[in-house]
Amino acid sequence: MSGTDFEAARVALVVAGARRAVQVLAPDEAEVFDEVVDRWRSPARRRVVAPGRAVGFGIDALLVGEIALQALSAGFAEVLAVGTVAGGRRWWRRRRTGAAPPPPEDGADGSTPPEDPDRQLSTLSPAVLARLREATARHAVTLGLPPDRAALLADAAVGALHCGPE
Amino acid sequence: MSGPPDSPVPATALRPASLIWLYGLIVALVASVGAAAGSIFFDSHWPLALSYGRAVTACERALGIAVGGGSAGPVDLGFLRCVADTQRGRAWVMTAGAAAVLLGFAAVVAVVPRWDRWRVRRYAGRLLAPAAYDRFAALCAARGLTGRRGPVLVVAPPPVRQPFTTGTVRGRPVVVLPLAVALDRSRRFDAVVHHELAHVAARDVAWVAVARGLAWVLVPALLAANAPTLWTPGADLLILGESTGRAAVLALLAACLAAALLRMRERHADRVAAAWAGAAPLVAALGADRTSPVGRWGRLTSVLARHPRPAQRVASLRRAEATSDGTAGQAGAVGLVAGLSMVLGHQLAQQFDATGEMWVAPGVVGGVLLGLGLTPGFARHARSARRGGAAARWWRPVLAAAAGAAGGRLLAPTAVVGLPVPPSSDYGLVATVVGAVAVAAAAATCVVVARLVAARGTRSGPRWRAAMYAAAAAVAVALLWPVPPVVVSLNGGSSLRGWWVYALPAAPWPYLAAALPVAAVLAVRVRAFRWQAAVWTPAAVTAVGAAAALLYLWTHPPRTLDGTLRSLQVVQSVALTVGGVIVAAGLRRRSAATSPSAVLGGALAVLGTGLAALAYWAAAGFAVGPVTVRTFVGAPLVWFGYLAAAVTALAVLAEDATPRRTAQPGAGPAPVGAVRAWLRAPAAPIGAAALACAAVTVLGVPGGYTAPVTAPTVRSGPPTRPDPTALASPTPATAGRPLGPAEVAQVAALTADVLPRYWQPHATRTRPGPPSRATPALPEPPSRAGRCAAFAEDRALHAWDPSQRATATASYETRPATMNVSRSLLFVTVSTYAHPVAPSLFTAAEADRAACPSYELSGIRFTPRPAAAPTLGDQAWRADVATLINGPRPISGTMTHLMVRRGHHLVKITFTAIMEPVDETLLHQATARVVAALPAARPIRSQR
Repeated sequence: MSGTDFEAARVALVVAGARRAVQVLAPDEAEVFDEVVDRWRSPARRRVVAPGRAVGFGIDALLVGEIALQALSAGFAEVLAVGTVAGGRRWWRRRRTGAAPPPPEDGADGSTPPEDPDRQLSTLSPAVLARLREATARHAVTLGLPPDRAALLADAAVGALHCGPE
Repeated sequence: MSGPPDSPVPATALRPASLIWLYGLIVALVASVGAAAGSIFFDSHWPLALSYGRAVTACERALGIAVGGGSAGPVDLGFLRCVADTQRGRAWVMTAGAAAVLLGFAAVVAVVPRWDRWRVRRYAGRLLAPAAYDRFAALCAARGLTGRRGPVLVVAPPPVRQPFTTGTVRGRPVVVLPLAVALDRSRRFDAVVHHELAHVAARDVAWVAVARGLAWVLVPALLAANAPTLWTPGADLLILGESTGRAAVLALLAACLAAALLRMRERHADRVAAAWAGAAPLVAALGADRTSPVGRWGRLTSVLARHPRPAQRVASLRRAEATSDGTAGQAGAVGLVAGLSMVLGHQLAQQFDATGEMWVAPGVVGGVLLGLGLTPGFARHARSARRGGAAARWWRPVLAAAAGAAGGRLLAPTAVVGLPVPPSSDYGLVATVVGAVAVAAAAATCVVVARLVAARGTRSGPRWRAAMYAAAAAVAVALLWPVPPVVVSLNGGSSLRGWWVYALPAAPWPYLAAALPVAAVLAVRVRAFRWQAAVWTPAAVTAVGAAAALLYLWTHPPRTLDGTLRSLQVVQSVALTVGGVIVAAGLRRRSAATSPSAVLGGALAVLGTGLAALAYWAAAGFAVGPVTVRTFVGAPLVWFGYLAAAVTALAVLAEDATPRRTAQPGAGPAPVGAVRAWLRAPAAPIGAAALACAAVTVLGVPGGYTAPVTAPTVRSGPPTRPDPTALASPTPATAGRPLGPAEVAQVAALTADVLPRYWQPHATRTRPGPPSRATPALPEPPSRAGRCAAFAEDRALHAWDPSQRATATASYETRPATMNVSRSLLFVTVSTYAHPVAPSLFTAAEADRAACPSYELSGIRFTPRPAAAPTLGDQAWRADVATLINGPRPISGTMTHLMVRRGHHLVKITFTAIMEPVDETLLHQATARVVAALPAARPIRSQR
């Protein structure tokens, strides 16, 4: 599997999770969610500086959809980074001890993606999902969501990944 | 209108403060930078700079001043008159620069809001969150923002994430809300909208458009002004770097200033929004509780931030007395712009009319900016402090204003001068220090007036407040006006004491300081003022002073002009002394020193003493006229005004350094209490006044008596040159014979007799001729290829070397001027030969010249051309050579070769004029002087 396919699958899962979170937390935003996703997907559009440098309030106000996309994306990145480091450690240990690689498992730490990216990402272990939920909620708080709503957002988003979009 | 229960902001805070001072500050800054850009362009543009340098050099030579540089030269009255026309051209270029930058600024101010509106146009036709529009309309109606003043709402999806308001200067404002806020049904929507509506109500939208335009205009203007130098190869990188560095620092400061003023408006909008809808929703919307701590870089970048940090905004909301007016930051900003504007105003006025009342221009500019820029803010600050029961700390804003003025003066953009100008950093340093002291005094005066306004409280109407602010500005003008003459005096341009005694009281501007006692009388409640105490004690001190003055006049009856002036100065000093004693007694009780009552009492004492002496003068039979009145009364009053201002500034700085009683809300005006306290020990000032007056009358005038300063004599023409025909003729003993080495050197040195003062001797070389007495052979006709070499090497002359008995060369050059754009050199060689010099020498020299159209040597192009020789000696010959060094800034000149033979003698004169024409008169006189000193062998006749 190429890195591009894996990235596409990750993006699809993040969008699905964020859409579910918006449906739960802010159904009013559903009308513009696709616009938000388009902007989030396009790095060039993300770099466009928004107007607002005149007399402003000085505090950014983010849509729930934006927060969900960013929090879930950051959560994925964090979990995958942890898994990559753990995999690297195992590889180094095997190289030093000369031990044989273990048989393919369920990807408990997400470090060994199977051939099918959709299958790999949609069949995350409960441990990974728990870690993803915790990371997503934490990033949502950082982005300005109250803790209770951040927990709700993480539940909705990660639940959508676990159960599949409705 | 009153605020909600949880709002700490009183209802008076809801009244939008006038932003005129902010606009004035920005306009002054932009105009100053524009004028500086014009000045820089003038000096960077080589043709303009060259003509200016030539004119300055010509005037210096004509008047014989500032030769070799120095600070005293440019302030000479004759010099200023001489360069007036040239200076006026520079002033017009500066004015054009100011106008151009102001126009550019206006264009940016008009374009930037339209650009903002163009960027949000795509959201205008889309109806997102319809409920938000209804709520927005309701809030606008509640705040009275309907109709033409009513803002338009636009709800925008991402990437718009910040609520903001935009709009053109005269158009309807547009409030743009991000969708996240528009969909928010909590109280955050109301808090955010109230904040934006506060901006609309305070007319901040137009102001912000103005402030944002600063960075877009100042840097390009200064870069454009430097462009001629930037594009010139070989420009002085050091000077260019200094100029660019100053411009960069100035631009950075302007950006910081604009950001600080924008943050000030944000705090004001927060306070108004909190007063409208309560502080709690606003605090929640600001989210200050989850703000991460600010690091080192965060603190650095926060000076350029347009919004204060959320925690700061919340803290500001929670303090009822908190106000952004009258703080050290605002005072520093006003001081910076005032300092910069004073420098440019001085330059501009000086170059338009250096001989007129140009010194008042920086005083007017700085005084108006300080008086109207500081006093209203100080008054609001004082009111806020009184409301909160806290003592305002005034030393910070006073020092900040002084430091800002010093910074503005030092950072004034300088020209990338392509001309070698001598450094004048000491002059600038003295001006900076004197200017900062004067600005501190002016700021302290603003503090005094602001306290008066605050003490009157809500009983003061807008017209009364405006009159008080105008009084502060008038006093500031009077305080700042003397800065340039004092600086000139301290730099040796004139006598400081002479100026102080005679020129200062004769000027009308110091009398503007009378606005302060008038303001004090207006401010203090008449019923609360203890007239008996406030008048009788100064009257007792006045009696002491008047007795001393009359005693001196009685014991020293004026019989001569010198004695009369001495008596007048003693009376003036006594009058000033009694006023100073009263103010000093006020300084003893710190708060009284700053009270206008102390100043008023002192002024009355000065006035009473002067009037008593004037009455005696009239009774003694001396003439009394306006000049006499000004001498007896006006001069001491003017001096007292400056003394009181200096003491007030010191007192304002000193009283914050010691603990004192906290002002109680609702207490009576401070001056009344201060006067009451001061009167508890009336004997002290009376005794001090008696001692001081006795010292003045017995020992004499402090600092010594000074006679009137005679006006400098202006010489309209060049220094008189000696008439060569009147000089000594050759001694008969030497007639018709060759001269010795000492004699030729003496003759060559005679040139100095006719040279003006701007010439200086370079060297005189003498050498005996070769021993040969053989008849010289005629020079060989030069070959075609070597014709220019023959002319350049003077081969025709060198052919006579074998018969040369002695030769001497005296060389001279013009002294370095302030701007070394032109220079002349003069070489006079006198040779004596064993045989009379033959006409064939000139024939050969002329043939060499005619054969040589032009040649190039060491990068210099020489083009010989014939010229008419003077009628001197037995025969004369002359050739001119035009010289040119090509480059970005071409250097041209003329070399004149002149030879005169007389009997056994030959005079060769080479006059080199670089970037100026040959001084034909000087050339003729120098030649005539030397030739006249040579012994003749035959009657004089002329020949080419």
